[in-house]
Amino acid sequence: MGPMLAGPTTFTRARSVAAAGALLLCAACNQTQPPFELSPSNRQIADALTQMLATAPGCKPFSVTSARVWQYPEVRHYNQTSYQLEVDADVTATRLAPPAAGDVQACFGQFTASPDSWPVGQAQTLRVLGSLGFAGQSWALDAGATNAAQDPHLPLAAAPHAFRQGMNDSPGR
Amino acid sequence: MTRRVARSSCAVALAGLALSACGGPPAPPFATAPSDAAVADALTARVEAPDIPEMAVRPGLPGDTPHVPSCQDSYRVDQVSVKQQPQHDAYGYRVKVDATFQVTRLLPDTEDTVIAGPNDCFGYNSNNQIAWNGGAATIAGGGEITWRSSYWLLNVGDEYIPMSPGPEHAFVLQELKAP
Repeated sequence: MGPMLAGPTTFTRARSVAAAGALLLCAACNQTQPPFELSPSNRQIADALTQMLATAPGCKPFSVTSARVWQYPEVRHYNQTSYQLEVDADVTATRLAPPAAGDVQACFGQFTASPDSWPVGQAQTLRVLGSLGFAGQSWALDAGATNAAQDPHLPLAAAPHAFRQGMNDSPGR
Repeated sequence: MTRRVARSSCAVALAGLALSACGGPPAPPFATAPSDAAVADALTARVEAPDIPEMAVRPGLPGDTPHVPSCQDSYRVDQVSVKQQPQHDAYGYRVKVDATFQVTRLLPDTEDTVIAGPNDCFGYNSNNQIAWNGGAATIAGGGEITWRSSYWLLNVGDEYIPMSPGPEHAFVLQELKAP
């Protein structure tokens, strides 16, 4: 049997679900690194982000139409070890209301840069920074200006996939 | 025979799962580690494949460093030989993978030409042989494989690749001293 990425595999759905369950058990006991190979797809993250921004109170001046997502599993060692998926998203939105000071950050998050000019009716694409934290049985998406209670949760992937660990600050491998 | 092997695999997998759930060191079923050929195929595919879809490199922002060619752009893998060694030490259980790559450099060998780093493409302990006089070269590399309750996870460089368990085979477990 070769790598599970290469073409059809013998991995059944039931087996994958069992794998996910086993990983949850393991994570609950050992506080090991989250199963990055069971992270959600970019499409799932983009859909969750788009839906969240469409309903966030701070996003009323905008109509969010789409998002394109990149994710980077990251392990940090400071005073304690932490694990998360960095999420970068290019979010496309149309302005519905006249610009107001800080309205871009109130919707898309404090680290989102405001365009130089963004008149009503015009679409812009913004780089939104966020993260996915492993919440034991799901991934919690922290992005935009919502608080933790409003973070959408995404399920573990049904089947494992390859991943690359570490921030890709420099393009290329 | 087939039934006995299947039952045996299941029992081993369940034992590993039980140990994982109880907080003890998970004992992987080394007898179902992927074959050397499967690992070699995975290592080759990794170098020659484009980026992992879910982890694709984002478009650069103004001021980002220039694009570094990928492994795919930098090397062609002509042959890989793999040796696996199941190990147990203070850090737990894993299969150490030593690999030898026969590769051909695909980009011209000039002072200004940057190619992907051998450690990124071929794994730990690679010769840091960034440039050579064209043609083929032999590069040592590899990584390790850990058990993830019902499948194996091959780590090479900064990449992790899930692999299906292989058919049962004999193995010798190497007990290592605590570091």
